[in-house]
Amino acid sequence: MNKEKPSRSGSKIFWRSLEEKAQATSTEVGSDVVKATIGLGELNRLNRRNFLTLSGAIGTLAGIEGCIRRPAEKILPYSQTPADVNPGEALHYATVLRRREESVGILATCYEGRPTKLEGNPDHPTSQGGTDLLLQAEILELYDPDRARTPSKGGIEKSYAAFDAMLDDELGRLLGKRGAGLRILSQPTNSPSFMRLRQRVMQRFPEARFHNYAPVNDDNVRAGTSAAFGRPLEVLPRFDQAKVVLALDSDFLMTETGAVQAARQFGAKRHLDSAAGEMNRLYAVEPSLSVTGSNADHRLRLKASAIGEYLKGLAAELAAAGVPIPGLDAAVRGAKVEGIPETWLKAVAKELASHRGESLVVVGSRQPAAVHGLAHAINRALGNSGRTVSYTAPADAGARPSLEDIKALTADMVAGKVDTLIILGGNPVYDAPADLGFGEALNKVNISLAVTSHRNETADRTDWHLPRAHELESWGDQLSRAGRYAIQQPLIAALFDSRSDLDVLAALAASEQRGQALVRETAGERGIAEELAWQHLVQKGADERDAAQIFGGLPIQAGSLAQVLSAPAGGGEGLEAVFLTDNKLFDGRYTNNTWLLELPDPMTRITWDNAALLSPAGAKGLGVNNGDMVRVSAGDASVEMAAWIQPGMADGTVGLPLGWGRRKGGSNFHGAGFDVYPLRKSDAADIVQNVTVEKIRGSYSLSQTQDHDSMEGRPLAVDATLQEYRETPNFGQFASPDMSAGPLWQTQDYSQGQQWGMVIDLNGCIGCSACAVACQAENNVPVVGKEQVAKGREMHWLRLDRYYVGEDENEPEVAYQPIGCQHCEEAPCENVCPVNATSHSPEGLNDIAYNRCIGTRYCMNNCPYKVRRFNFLNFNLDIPETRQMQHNPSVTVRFRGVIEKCSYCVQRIQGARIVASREGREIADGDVVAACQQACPTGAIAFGNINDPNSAVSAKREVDRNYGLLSDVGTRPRTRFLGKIRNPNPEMKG
Amino acid sequence: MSEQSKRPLLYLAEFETADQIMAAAEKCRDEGFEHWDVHTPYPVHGMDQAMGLPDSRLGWIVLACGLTGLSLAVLMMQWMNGFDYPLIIGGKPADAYPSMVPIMFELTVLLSAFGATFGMLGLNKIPRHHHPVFYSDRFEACSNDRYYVSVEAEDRKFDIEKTKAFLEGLSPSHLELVTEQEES
Amino acid sequence: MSAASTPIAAIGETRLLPEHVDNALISEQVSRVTETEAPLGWWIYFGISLMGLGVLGVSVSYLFWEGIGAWGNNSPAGWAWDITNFVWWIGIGHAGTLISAILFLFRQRWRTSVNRFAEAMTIFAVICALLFPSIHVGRPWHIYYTLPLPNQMWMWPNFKSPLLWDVFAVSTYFTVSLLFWYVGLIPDLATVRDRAKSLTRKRAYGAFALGWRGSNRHWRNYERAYLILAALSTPLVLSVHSVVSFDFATSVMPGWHTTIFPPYFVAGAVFSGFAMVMTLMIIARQVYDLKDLMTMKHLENMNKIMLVTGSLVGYAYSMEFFIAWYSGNEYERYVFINRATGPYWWAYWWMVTCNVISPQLFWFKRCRTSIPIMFAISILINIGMWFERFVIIVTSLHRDYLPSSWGYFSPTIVDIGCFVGSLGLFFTAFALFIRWLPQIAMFEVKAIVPGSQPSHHGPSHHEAPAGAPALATKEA
Repeated sequence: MNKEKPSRSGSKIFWRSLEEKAQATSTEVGSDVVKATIGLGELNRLNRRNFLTLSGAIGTLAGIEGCIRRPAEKILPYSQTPADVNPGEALHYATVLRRREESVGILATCYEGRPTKLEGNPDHPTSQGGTDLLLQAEILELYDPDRARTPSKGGIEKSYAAFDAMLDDELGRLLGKRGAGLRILSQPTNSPSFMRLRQRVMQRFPEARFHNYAPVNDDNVRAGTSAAFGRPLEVLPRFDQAKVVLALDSDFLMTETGAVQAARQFGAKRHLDSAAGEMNRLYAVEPSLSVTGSNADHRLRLKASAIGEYLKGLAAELAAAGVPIPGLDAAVRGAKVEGIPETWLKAVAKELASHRGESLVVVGSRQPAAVHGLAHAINRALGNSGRTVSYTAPADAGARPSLEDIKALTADMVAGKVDTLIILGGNPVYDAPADLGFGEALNKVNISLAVTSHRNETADRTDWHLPRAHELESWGDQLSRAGRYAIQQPLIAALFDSRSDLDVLAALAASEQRGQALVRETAGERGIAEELAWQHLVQKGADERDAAQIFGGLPIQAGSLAQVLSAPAGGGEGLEAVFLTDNKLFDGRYTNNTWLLELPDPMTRITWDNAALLSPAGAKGLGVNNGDMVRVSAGDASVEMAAWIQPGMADGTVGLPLGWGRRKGGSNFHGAGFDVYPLRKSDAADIVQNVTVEKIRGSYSLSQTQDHDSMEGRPLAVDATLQEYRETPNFGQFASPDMSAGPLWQTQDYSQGQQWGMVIDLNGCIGCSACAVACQAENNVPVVGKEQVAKGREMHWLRLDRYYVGEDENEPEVAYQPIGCQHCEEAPCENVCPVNATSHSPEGLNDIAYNRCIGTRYCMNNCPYKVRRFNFLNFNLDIPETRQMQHNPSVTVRFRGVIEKCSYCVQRIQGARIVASREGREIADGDVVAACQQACPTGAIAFGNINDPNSAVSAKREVDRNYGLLSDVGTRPRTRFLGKIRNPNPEMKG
Repeated sequence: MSEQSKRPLLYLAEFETADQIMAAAEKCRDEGFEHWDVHTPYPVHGMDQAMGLPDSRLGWIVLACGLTGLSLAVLMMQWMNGFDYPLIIGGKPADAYPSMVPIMFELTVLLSAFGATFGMLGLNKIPRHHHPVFYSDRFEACSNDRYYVSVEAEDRKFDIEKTKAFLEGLSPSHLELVTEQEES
Repeated sequence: MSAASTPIAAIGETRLLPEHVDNALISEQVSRVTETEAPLGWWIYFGISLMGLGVLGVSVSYLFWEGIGAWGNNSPAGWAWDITNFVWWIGIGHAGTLISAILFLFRQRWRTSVNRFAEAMTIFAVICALLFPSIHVGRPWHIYYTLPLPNQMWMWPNFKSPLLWDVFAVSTYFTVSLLFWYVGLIPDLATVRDRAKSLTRKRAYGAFALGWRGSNRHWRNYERAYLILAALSTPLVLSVHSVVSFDFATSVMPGWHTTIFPPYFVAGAVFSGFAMVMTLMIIARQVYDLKDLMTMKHLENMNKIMLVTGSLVGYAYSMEFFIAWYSGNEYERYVFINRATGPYWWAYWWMVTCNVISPQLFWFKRCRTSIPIMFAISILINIGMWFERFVIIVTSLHRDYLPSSWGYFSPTIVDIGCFVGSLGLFFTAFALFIRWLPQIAMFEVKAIVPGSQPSHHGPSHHEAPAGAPALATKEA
């Protein structure tokens, strides 16, 4: 099923080299661009057409990248090498990608016009150089060989000519009735060009109507601000300003809008360079253990529906603690807070009250408007507004809430009012609320057209389908929530003959412009007209300043808010289900992404599947064990899926991760997970009351990368409370001491030259797993598939160990520990290799010579950290050509039968060395950035020359809580860890 | 032609028991033959003294081979890991001796064993498939349960008649003059 | 004083061979096997073995085609059945040389009936042992990198690696055993040659008999060579399994990193080796009527040795546990508790039952002398010793330092195929050996037949040539 998995049938040519393979199958993937962009070596085999296409691609890039002489999009032959484009030398281009409702600045690494890796753009406020899991995996979406390649009608491939003809006379017909019956369903947008074109379409078709829908959206957030302030707003928390954070059902570090920025700010408040340092304190109240909850200093597991009541109770306590919430005393009185520990009301209230202006209450998008509203009121009462939280108007001011909008659209479709429906992106047939029956409603539409990257469930039901261009291969622009204007530039000519939303809208608007011209015109309207300014903007990737107006303290509309609050909370006694934005697949749009499919979920460590998450007590009640099949029913709908016992789940709650169990539009996800959308109704899109879970026959095999959750009391991910830290600053060394006596022999002298080392601050690691995928993208790490993972053959060079700490399986403390090669100075793996295939470089790197390795696996056995991975099968066989384009050319693709592992990104070290020597200088601190380090949104990883006393890594190694993992084995690891610090509130005890 | 006319090669005297062959051997020794031998199905103890043979020189050969093996091992490992292509392995010195001990031992044993085996064959000058004793039809019993004394014609004390008489004096169960054969 | 001259009872030796056995009978009984048609039993045995060999061919071809993934090995269990089989076979391969060399130096007369047998077994077992390290590597077509040969990378092997020590130790052991075995065969090949009726037979055996003519000038060097080979093999046989144990002892893995391993492995090797010899001897004894030469006395002596080594191994097991506790090392402790109570508890208790408990029956003479019982026990010991290696390798690896990387190993059909196949290889080779070669050292047995040695007093007898294969004296 999965192309990247070793296909046993395919191994009949395993003697061949990958190059041979690529040529043997180069007709398999029929895109000219693909062939053209393989590299210069291929050029002689190019025909005219793809020659020009390639040139176009290169030309575009070269034209943009600061090269002003040449207008962009002018085709130039590669025979005159464009400036700055040298084979094998990486170029970096700024662009922007959309993550949920936020736009994140990106720097893309390109080889010969072939983007291979995405990093955060340090100049962009929503990234500041950081990325998250999905941004790291996004590059694989671009090269997904399952993407649609041509227009199609009813599944039969058609030419663009045929399509355009169809569209023309359709539009002609629509012009007659001023566009009545023309509907366009897009995803919520933050693109000025999109809005501009939308205007022009509306001018042409006054009767037409735009709708937007996203299954995971911020409707509740905006509804909350409407309730509190009387108008929909974006909420911009400032975690770097908050000493105390109360997160209510909010996974702001992982799945909420703006997670990258939030993680960076949150991480900043948890950096401790000495025991004297200060760090923030995070309280989390949530139904299901989220990444954010796993980082909380105090966590209360609570049914989602009870969280509103808790907040009311807390508000009442705040009033008692001297922080009255004007006009809401009545509304918050008499909250149902039975069963909620006293301390969670009194102590938390006290804590907040004593941190006015430097505390923050954030609410997750799953919670209803009322909870958001009350939170805003509390933040205002605490004087946090304008300091730890501020507000801006949404980029797309007029946009109706997703849910409302899709409801309206479907209603009209059913009523036969929709004549022509154009769906720009998204997958409503799969992810629209089940009760609307969007799929069936499509039949009532005269002509339906889906513009999506894959022929997914929706495209399968529409009359026509157009391939949709990926953000990395099409022009566009985006506004961050704070109003930072950024240009989305293509990094490669469209791999397949696809169109972007803007191109489609332009066609509807009868505009001749396409791509760049459209965006430039928008830019012009924003006052960036002349060439220089434009070039500068594109080069930087974003504007210098945030355009949106920032609101600090807005007045609370107490009256209306009180009314909203007085509405009875839904929470009953019955079992309730919460829909979880999946940590890996988001809402299902990444379901064909093998990196994400194989990545273990940060909490459950399950790969290739999702499962119904039950609390230990709940599972016991049902007599369910991990992997048993259960039927989850809500009203008339029910799904059968595997169950998983998740410590830290609230009793009476079942967690249903969205986005799995897809059926159409990809070849990798078949049999991966279970689709829970059928349970999702328009009236209960976030929390479903009175669901029933029953055990049914059979069980399902879930494969995990880590099936043991306990540290067995071993000093691995060492942690301490801030109090203990201050008492014993070297608690790390105390738990895991370094060898006091040296070995018997003359040890190697590492005191000279560059000596590479890494320090990982466990206090900064939030468990988001971005580093793991970044490593996979950087180092061409193969995906092995569910069966191989079950056998224990996953290849991740960098893995994230997740341990549960503490006795109570319901209140687990979580410890994360990223583990790559520790580059031991006394490396056990080197001693045992019979053929010298792995040895130490004079710079302290533990190297592997792949072509020398014969694969005895002795080194793997003798590695105490088990970081060495063995190619048990030829995992790199049959990799589709588009997929190969992502491979990092500076890293070998490993063959069957050899060992591989983390190399400290030695290719980046050598790259930096070449640059430095060309400039006639030593490698400076910061020249070498490891892939994991670069991806980390909290900056928890430091890497560099430990012989340089002024390097960042040296400073980190000086921090008193540093320790070496399993130092007592005598391995002298180069990677050091900084012990994790928890910051509990003494008053929360008991 | 008649037997007499052929060139005699050796006398072969057959005996029944170990005691007889022992006695016979001692007599031959005292007679002062040089090119003579005793053939038995298995090693008979005391026969070396009975024949007055010096101790075997094999030990010295083996010793030489063993020392060669040892030095070969040391030189090979020191040169390969310590000199020709030194690498940092587990932070240990490239030319560390302790880890080389096992292979020093193995190569010493290996070459010694070769010395013992091929030294033995060399000293015995075998393989040799055409020794005159094989001309005798009775000799096949030697590898079964018979004992033989052979006195070769090239011995300077050899004399068709005298030696015959002498050997008969040993009262063998059978005495045979092995002579040259054309067709062999 | 000489053995043969004195009534056997008087020198305190129970008679090894029945009264009626004489040199001619020995030649006849042993050589006959190679001269007459093979009995039906042999054909059945050979056929089954050949099928096993076929299984090996298929399994190994598939393994090379697919890669190591065809086996169940994984991370953390990088080694599993492959190295288990290797250590098991190499262990079995110890008995031969041990019997030939050590018992020889200790003047154990009874060895003469069994040593040829045991040596042959050693050769074949070591061949099976060599098979597994060669096929267990990820890229077998590059296996020659382990030899100090010039190659395109200008790289040399890593002489610090115990695995490389293995390469030298095992191949040396194989070569020396082969020489030892062949040297011992030469006089007997001469016997078979001389008995041969057909010219081809004469030539075939004659070629390998090297023109041996029982010359005493030859016996002199021959016995010296045999003595030296024995003296070399004795430390060698002890070193080989010590080196194999270094694979584990020099690592940092809890459960492997143990100084007790070398003696413990050697004891185990002798133990399993004797068990395998016993199994084979009992079969051969039934198939070819050799009860006169392989007497109950032989079997009983071997059972005694199994009782001793079995108890030694048992001692090692308990000492491992004690040291794990005494060391206070939490990782070490966990590994041993995990062995006995963890996911692989069954393997551990198989091991203890077969290796420590079952041989204790040999305390009773009735068990020591009962063919069915000793046959059953010898089989059990073979099984138990396989589990010992499995326990050491897999249970130590599958749960090591970081609980996050703990895993579980389960074998695939290919694992099983390779193991069964190696048995096929072994028994096929053995079938050919007993069919075509003298399976008992005739000349050595002849030398201990009463009256085979001269009875009159000479200067020789008190310091008899050390090499005397079968000199029976009280000091024995």
